[in-house]
Amino acid sequence: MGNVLLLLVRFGYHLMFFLLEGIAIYLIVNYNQSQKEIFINSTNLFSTSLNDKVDGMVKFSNLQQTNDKLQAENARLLERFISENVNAVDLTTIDTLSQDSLKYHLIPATICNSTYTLRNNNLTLCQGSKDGIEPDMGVITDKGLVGIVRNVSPNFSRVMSILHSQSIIDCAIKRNNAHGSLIWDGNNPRILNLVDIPKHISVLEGDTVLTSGYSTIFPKGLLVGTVKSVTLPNGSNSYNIGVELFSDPVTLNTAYVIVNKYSKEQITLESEIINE
Amino acid sequence: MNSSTITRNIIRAIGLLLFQVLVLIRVDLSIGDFTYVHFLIYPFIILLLPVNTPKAFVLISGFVIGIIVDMFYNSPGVHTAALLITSYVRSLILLMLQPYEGYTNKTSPTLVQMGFSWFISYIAIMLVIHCFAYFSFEAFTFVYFFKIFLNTIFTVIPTLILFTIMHLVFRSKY
Repeated sequence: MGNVLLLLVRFGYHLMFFLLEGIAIYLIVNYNQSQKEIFINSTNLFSTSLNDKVDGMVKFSNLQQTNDKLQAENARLLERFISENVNAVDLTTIDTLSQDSLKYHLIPATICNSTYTLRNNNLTLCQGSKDGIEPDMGVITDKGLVGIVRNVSPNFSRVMSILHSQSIIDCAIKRNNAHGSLIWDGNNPRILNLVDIPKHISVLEGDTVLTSGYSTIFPKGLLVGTVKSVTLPNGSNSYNIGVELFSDPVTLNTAYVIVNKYSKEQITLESEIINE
Repeated sequence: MNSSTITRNIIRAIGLLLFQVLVLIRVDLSIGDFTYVHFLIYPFIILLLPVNTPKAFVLISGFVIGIIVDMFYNSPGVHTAALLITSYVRSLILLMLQPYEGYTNKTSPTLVQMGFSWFISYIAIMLVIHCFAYFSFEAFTFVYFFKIFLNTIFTVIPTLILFTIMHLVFRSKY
């Protein structure tokens, strides 16, 4: 108590000044219109800037969650697009509200590991059989192909990249629907080769290349790339076409795994006839 | 501090307050867009209080005078806040400007007692502080700093001249 009194005696003058000044500023802020507005605006500015900072921090900590959510949303949109592409003839049969009527289902996936400098390149996805991934499913991004699933463990899956010597994917040129096979010659990871297109078909530089949908792995009409160069090797009956990919396989970090709900049905039906 | 000093100070306070709130409040010195000239003469009540006036009393009288002026100027708190700052720094400025031989018991910071140059520098410093505080509180933001600065300059100079003339006319020793 004595100390408090001593403090008052010593700093009473200053305390008194601050008290009276406080009263004066209170009067200014409460009874003068323009000063009142400025005061409210300034305090608002301060509080909003503080709020903004906290918001930014919260958003940053939720970034992973937001990313996952966006990827799932993207997957849903893409699968609707793909399915409509396939069933374009009778759109009326698609009930866009129910996911069950769609032929293809997409599983969002993250790429943990990938190579692109070797002759035979592979990728690893951070999702496995727990998430519904099975061997022989296609892997795509929003604007291109990635590869085909080979092996699956509970939490990871191994994907054969399109940059692999054994990867052969059926593709077609959009303009005239000419079919060919997409392979990689091992040189430039951004340019693949479309072979087996006979030389009587006209192919121009800049033509768009899509997937043909002749296999159960990739649906019809996925974007692949554009024709960059057309050469006809001596004595050959088919073109050798360089296709520049839309998506850069070097800078991938997310992908979608395509689940074809009727692939088993199709494969069984087709193998029955072969076995005859 | 004798009774004569107190009487003189009270009379000066009343006179300057009436002059400020009844006469100077009506003087319009704006020339077209040039609206920076004002007369703020009431701070001299505080400035001319005797040197050994209790500091707390200076503060309280500053508060009361500020409230009275604000009542007439219809700006609650603005003059009060500025005059409180002036009253608060008065002791500090007096200490800074202390003559070599120090202040005596009877010293009042007037022209007659302290001499012309001391007096002018004292009231100039105090007036600049007061006007800057006043126009800052009036704007309540430093966004218009240049305007505050112009207001300060063009209020200090005419007020200084006006008060010096008045002071010379009345020749008050206390």
